[in-house]
Amino acid sequence: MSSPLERREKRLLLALRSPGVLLVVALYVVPMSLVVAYSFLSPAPAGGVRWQWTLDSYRELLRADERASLYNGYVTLLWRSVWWSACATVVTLVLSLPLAVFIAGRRTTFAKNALLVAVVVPFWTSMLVRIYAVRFLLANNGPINGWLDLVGLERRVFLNSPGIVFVGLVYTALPFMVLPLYAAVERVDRNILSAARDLGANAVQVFFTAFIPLVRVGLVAGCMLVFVLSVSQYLVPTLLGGGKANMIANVIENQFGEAQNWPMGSAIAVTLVVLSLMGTLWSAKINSEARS
Amino acid sequence: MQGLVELHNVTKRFGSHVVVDAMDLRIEGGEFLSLLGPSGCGKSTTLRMIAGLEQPSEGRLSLDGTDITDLPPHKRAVNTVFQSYALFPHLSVSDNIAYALRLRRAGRREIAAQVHDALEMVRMGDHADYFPRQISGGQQQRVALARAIVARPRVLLLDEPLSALDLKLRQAMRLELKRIHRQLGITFVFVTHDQGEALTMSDRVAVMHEGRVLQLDRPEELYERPASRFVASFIGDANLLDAVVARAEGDCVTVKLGNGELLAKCKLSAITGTAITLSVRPQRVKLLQLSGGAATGATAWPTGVVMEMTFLGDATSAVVRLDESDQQVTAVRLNVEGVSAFGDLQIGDSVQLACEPTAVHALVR
Repeated sequence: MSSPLERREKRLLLALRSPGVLLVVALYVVPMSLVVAYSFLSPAPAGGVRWQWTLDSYRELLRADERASLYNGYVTLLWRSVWWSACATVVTLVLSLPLAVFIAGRRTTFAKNALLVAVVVPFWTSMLVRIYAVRFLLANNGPINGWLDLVGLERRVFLNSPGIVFVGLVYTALPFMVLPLYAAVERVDRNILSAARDLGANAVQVFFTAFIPLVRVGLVAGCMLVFVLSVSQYLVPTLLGGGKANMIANVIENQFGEAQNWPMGSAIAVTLVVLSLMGTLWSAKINSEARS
Repeated sequence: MQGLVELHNVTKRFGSHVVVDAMDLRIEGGEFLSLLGPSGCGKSTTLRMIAGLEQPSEGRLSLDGTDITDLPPHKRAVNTVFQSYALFPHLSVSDNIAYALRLRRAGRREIAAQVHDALEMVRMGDHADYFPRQISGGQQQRVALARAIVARPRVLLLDEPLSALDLKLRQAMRLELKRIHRQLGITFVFVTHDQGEALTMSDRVAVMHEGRVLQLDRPEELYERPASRFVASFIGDANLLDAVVARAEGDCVTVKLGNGELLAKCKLSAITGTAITLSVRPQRVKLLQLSGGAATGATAWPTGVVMEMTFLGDATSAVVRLDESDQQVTAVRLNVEGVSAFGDLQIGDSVQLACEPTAVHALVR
């Protein structure tokens, strides 16, 4: 038997936990379950679903004949999203690591915090506004083209291309990589790096055999965040790609909107969630191995 | 003859702060040398310069006759045991030890054999597959030691390796380190602020203060014949007394202390009237009880009054205030079968101070 005090404590904990749990159930578990259910139903003619169970949406999704190749090539688009996100993750990592090391290497806490704030400040502005700002910068008659004109170079079309979507992915993801990396680099015991050098490791060997394993947890966490964020990006391909460099989220939007095929949209969404989940589980597994 | 490691006029500055000041040091092959000094005296920096982890601002270093001043740490046949152990947390005990060998691309079998030997050497054979966080601080210490010796460096540098251990473990590790030093025959350079560690383990001790080596000597010499006031006060307990030279007699001087005189060893030629510091170990101070205030000794030894008697367990200490002076002298005597070796000496008694001339050292002030 638990004592009255323990029972009171349990009730209190339950009460404190409940609002959060209810919020997650109401706003995440219920809609997500609906999406999963819809993905196995038939489409109604003008949007919505008919309660008739079928695997049609998933069959359509995996179809790889020539009719499906372009607009309907869901697998192609899924693959493109995954591939771009993976590349964006690597590029973001390569850009963020020196930055994180630089920030962690500052002598004073003030300098570190100032630099971290500089990394985070863009987040105080809505992502929509920031992406519009990038659009404005790179527009055909925008400041960058104006500058190219001024120095006598040819104007270029930046927008509405896969390249600029990729840049956008990296741009929006950077802080999500820098912060966990910084936290990991900050904790690195310099003596361990000295020990590696002392034991005969050159700079490159120190980096790969001592530094990277020491920051691995932060590195994997950052990569996971960036990948999951990128693979489901909607704003960047919409605003910077202008329909010419769509990612899978654009297709989901299209299925729910214009195409009025809710089951199809749900099936793609479920696939995307599964992909993200796999990435998350994989990184969690790596990090639990690092800790065990 | 050449020393194994030589420092020539080595200076290290951090900004405008001089940490190591024009230091010359010669470390002989195979010896166990300690760098002893208070924190901030430059001993760790000296060690890091030998390891190559710090670059000297001026001066040259050589290892086995070869100039290594500009050689990066990974190319020096020198390994370090760090104060914080600095084990690789992501590697098992045996992989930690194998690290240096793998970098040299040693063969699988050779690595296994050498890791095994190193583990046996530090008596950690049962812990090969553990990770650093799964073993105690003392065990981590042993692994750090094994990792540093497995590649057979010419010199093993130890940066206060025992300071994080508790007293009992620390004392056990002193003996272990000495045994390993004997077995390996590698030169050990040991940094410590603990004079007990330095005296018990070392062949020679360099006492450092403010970036300089004040005295480099065998432990016995340092203890018996400190060359300066700092060394005398830093090593063991010493009575440091202000006195004035009365007469110089060969390698001895007669000094005036309180209301009397003492004969002291003096390495320097002292002129009558010079103010000097006397160093006397408490164990070497004898107290003669005076009956009725009259001197019993024939000599003019100074007199004083017992101020304090303290039971120390294996010994008793007595603090005497010198007459005609405000200086205090501590005397320590071993107890015999629990009875104070000072006999029936009591607080308030008048005593006369007696010391062998060999026990009293005159140091320049």
